[in-house]
Amino acid sequence: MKHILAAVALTLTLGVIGAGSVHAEYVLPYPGYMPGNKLYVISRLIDTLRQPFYFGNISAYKYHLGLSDKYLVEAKTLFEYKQYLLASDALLRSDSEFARVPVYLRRAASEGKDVRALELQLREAAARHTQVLTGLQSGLPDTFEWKPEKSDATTLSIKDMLRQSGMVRDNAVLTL
Amino acid sequence: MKRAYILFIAAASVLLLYSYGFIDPHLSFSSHPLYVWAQNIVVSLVYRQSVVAAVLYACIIAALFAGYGILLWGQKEKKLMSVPRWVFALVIMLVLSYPAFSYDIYNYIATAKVAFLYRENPYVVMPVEIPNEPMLSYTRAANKLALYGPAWIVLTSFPFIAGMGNIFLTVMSFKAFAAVFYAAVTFLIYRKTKDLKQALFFALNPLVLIEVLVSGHNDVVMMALGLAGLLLWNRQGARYKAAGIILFISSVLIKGATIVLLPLFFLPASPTGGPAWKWEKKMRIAAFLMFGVFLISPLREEMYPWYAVWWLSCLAFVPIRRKSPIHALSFWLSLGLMLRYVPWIATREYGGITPVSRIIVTIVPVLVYICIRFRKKILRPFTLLKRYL
Repeated sequence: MKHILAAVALTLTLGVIGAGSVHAEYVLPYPGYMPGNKLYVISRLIDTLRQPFYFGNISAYKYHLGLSDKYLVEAKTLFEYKQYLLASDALLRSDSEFARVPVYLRRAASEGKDVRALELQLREAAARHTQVLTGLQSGLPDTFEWKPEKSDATTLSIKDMLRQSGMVRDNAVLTL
Repeated sequence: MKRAYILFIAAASVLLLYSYGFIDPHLSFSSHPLYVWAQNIVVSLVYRQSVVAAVLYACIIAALFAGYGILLWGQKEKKLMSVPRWVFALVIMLVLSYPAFSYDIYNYIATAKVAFLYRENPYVVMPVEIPNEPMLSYTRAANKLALYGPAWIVLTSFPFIAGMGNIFLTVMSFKAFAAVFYAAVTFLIYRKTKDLKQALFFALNPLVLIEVLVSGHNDVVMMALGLAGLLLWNRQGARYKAAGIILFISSVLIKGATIVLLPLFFLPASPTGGPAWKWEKKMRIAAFLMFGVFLISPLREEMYPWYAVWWLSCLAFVPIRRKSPIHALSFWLSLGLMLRYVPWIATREYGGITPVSRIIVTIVPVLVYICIRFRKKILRPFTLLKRYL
């Protein structure tokens, strides 16, 4: 009985203390369709086709940040399954999308829109992306050589690529 | 006619002044001392003496419905040969009233602002995501993406531009825009039925007057396009049919409720090899279909009074006979729906006893009508029992 009471007291204490410091952390999406799935091509096509729907600078900010998140999760999943070539492609796409995000924020700000909340969101997104990239570095080889049967081998500098991706996030935040 | 005129104009005059008492505390249309003085009087009535305000509202509604009843059922048909001039004055007064009972018009304006001023997609960006937008202090549901279809957003460009960035002009232009479609529905009813009484059944229904002209709800725009589409579809010629389909699709792309009218486009010209389906019969079906959607609307949110515009506009095409139960029922249900505002005005709360009170005030007038109208049938078992005993 004493243990139960102690557990309840501890839970309540932690709950009360924790309630004061609730923070909604930046959440990355679930991985969508992966390369090899029949719907993957359609998913990529939809990603491209819906771009005109996101007219306006805040809309475009959401579109590119959303795609960057999606491709980062795709890259992470592929790295974990040792699909390094596909993963590096997804990571490059994620980098490319992330690098475009601050441009739209600056444009929105120049139109007189208050973008402070979006800037904060972008900083949180960059921090979350960097956290994922750092987490990946420990479990991956420095380089990987891909040898197709009928063409030349490709050497991937995985660690360099991850560092480069981190720099893309850092630079994006620095330009704000 | 004179009694109806007095009731309508007196109620609309009081409503015009009274409605400004509901103005949001964060909004001011003018800083002129006379306006501020007058507004303070009605604001203090509405916010500080809410029970008195509720009684006053009930009196306005009672006067409007009394006038409406006299005009429709207390007049001989020969007296309704032309639209009375005072109807125009009534419409102007109501358009100039403050949208007291709903914040939806601000939602329309905020969405139009996101689309046409900030040039953002309102289906992606919420008004609240532009925190320095001054409208946020008095707009409700600013944390929602566009609630209506693309046809409505495109159409709102006209009143939004006409507002020239001034909030008072923008509110009035949105209300005037609704009034144009209100006039269009009334015209369609008269053109098809050639009966002024049927046109006035819609045009002078106090629910329609308040929800369309005072609150500026877009339901009338949806119905105007849907009914015009249906009318054109029934005409001979490919051009009319194409125009009818375009208008109908536009209607569906405003709010979606008119999609239930789609089967009417496919009704066979001759269901059993006999005469073609009459327009009146089609509109009777349309009224029932729209009423069905109205009845299931609480599944989504709640039974909003302005949804009654859907079936009232269809029902107006059905001839009004002296003892027509559906028209009489629509009268009492409209009254019940307008009384739904009374508990909210009295308590200024959406919770507590307000939801239950709303249900009661909606149902009671309908039940009273049913009891009076069908009293003989209701009392028959008791009469038989009395005889037997």
